[in-house]
Amino acid sequence: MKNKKRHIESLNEIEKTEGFKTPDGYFDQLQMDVLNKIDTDTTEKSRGKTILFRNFYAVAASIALLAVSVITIWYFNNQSRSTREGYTEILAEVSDDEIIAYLEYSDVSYYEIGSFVYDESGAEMKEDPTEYFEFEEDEADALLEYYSL
Amino acid sequence: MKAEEKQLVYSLKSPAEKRAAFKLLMDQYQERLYFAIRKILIDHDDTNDAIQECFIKIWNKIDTFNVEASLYTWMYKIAVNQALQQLRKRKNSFKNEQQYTEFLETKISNSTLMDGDEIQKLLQQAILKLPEKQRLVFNMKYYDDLKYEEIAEITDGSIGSLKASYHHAVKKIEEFLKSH
Repeated sequence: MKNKKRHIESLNEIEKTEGFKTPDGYFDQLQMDVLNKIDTDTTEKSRGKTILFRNFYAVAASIALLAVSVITIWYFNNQSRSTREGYTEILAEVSDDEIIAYLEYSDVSYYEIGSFVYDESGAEMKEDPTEYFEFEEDEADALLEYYSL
Repeated sequence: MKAEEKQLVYSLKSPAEKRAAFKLLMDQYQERLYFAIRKILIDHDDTNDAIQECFIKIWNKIDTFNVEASLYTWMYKIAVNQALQQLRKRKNSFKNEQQYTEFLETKISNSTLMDGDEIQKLLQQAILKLPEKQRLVFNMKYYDDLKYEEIAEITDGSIGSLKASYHHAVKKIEEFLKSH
């Protein structure tokens, strides 16, 4: 056999073999080890995805709850504002004469009426609330006469 | 690429068929890739670590593989890179490179996982003396019978320099054999 020859002159004289050996059944074991690793990695990845998915639902639920809260608060705020605006609009539709007629038959005094009237700074009520009514003297007399006051 | 190999690649890229196809791929290529790595690392345990990582990488990267390219060359390149990575890691675990070389020489001489033929052992000792690039090129050309074009693709080298490397490697090995 040419490989038994001790002194080699050329590579061509050497039989081409791998020169290495593996433990018995090594390649079957290698395949099992690799496939097990792949299966474990795949399971861990899908578990990671599930956890992420659960987190996603938790975050989504929190966002939904926050959104509902914001919308609810906004809705009620808006509604009360529109209710307030509604009162102003309804009152604006009532004519001055009707208001005077209402006041004539009610027990509201000038001073009580004046208590709702404030100066521009909103600070104090003036002593004589009639000062707020911008009537000429003859107009005032006519009104007093008309309402038999 | 042969029709059979192309079909295997398509199956590897299909999630439903991937695992079964991968088993088939290992059946066909695991021995060749193992010995390609073993010739670089010499030690069986180191080779075992590297080949396992190599197949995990192949599994993870197969979707990026171009169907028109050579599957074996692509896998061989992953195997060589993994082996070189393992080689650096092992070198760093020794005090210096000389100690690591002595460890490998002992493996060649005494390991039960080496061919008992003295000439084969001598040849492995001669290859171990080569610079890293010459060693890689020699193994690819002499043992695995790869074309220079394929070696160039794997090592990112030019064909001219690869031919020169192989020529120098053969010369040094024959000188070593003559003197021992």
